[in-house]
Amino acid sequence: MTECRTPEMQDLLPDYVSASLDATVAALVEQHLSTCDPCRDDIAVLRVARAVRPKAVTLDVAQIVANLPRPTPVLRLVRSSSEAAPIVASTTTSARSRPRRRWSASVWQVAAAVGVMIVGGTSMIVARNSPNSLTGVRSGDAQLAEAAESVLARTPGVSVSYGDLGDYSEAELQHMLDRLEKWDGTSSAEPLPTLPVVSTPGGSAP
Amino acid sequence: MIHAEQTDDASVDGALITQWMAGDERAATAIVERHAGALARFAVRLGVNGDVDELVQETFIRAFSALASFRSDSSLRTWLFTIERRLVIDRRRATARRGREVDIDDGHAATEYDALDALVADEAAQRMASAIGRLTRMQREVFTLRVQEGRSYKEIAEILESSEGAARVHYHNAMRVVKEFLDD
Repeated sequence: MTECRTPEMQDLLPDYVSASLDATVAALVEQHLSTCDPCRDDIAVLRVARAVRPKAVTLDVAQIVANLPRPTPVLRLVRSSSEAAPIVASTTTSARSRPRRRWSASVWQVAAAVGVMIVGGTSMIVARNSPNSLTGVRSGDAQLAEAAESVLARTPGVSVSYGDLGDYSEAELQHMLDRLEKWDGTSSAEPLPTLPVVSTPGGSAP
Repeated sequence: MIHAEQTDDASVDGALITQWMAGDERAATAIVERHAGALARFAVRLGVNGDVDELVQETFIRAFSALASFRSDSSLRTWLFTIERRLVIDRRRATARRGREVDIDDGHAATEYDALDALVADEAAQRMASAIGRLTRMQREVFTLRVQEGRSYKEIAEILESSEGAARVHYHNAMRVVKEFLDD
């Protein structure tokens, strides 16, 4: 017999020689070897082959370790390299979305300007129809007025009432409208038109 | 079939890697001590003779630089062999480009393995070294990994970036060549 008839066993011979088989499988291999001449020949060759060991090379373990990179501690508060890519991507994305953001801002500026003009115009209409006060028309201003009054009411000898658009002349009102029409809404630093504060003798705010 | 020894190795290596990643530098020493000898032997069997220590050093540096990406589904030693073999191939290619070596083909296998002749002890071992020197480069690598390093076909396939079937064929062809040489 020149060939092993159980190639699965023949494949295990190197593991058998290196003693890396568990006991059960090793026993099966030994049983096979008792009946298979080619595999016994292989075992003899493999044992010699394992004995061929090159002369030991002197290695300086300490030197090798000293040259190794250090472990990198994981810092949770610092962006890791894996997060760098999304940052780049988001930069690119934000650059792309910038025109849309500008467009949105300009829309809001126009809307704000239109809103101011509508409020101003409404105020004029109300003022003409009701020359007494604005406090009943604009609830937000009313709250602001109440707050201001509560502070100012503590000042002795001075009571405050709020002027209305009826206090303005036609020329002043026209000037205000012209300014509103010219206002492009871009300057948030521009002071809003203020109503005159008129001191009146005696009394207190309601 | 259970490779109990290799399973234990993998678990020990896994624990050492975890310790090293946590900042314990003593684990690096333990890892190097466990595998440096095998890497040196493998290097010599691949035909490296002059700067084995340098090659082993470079292998560990490469490995530790990428240790975070090491997946324990293969053994650390298999992974180290893979890195070392790639380094050897890179060096051979670089040498070939410089013209010091015309080509790395199977015909040079015996010459590359001649370095072992002076290193082995007795006559039988010398004959075996000569027989191994007759093998093609791929046969010799498979034979070395299978017989002398005790790697499985699966691990050999991983190291050689080939298939288990190809590794098995190379092994049996190598065995045939070796036995024929020894019978002459």
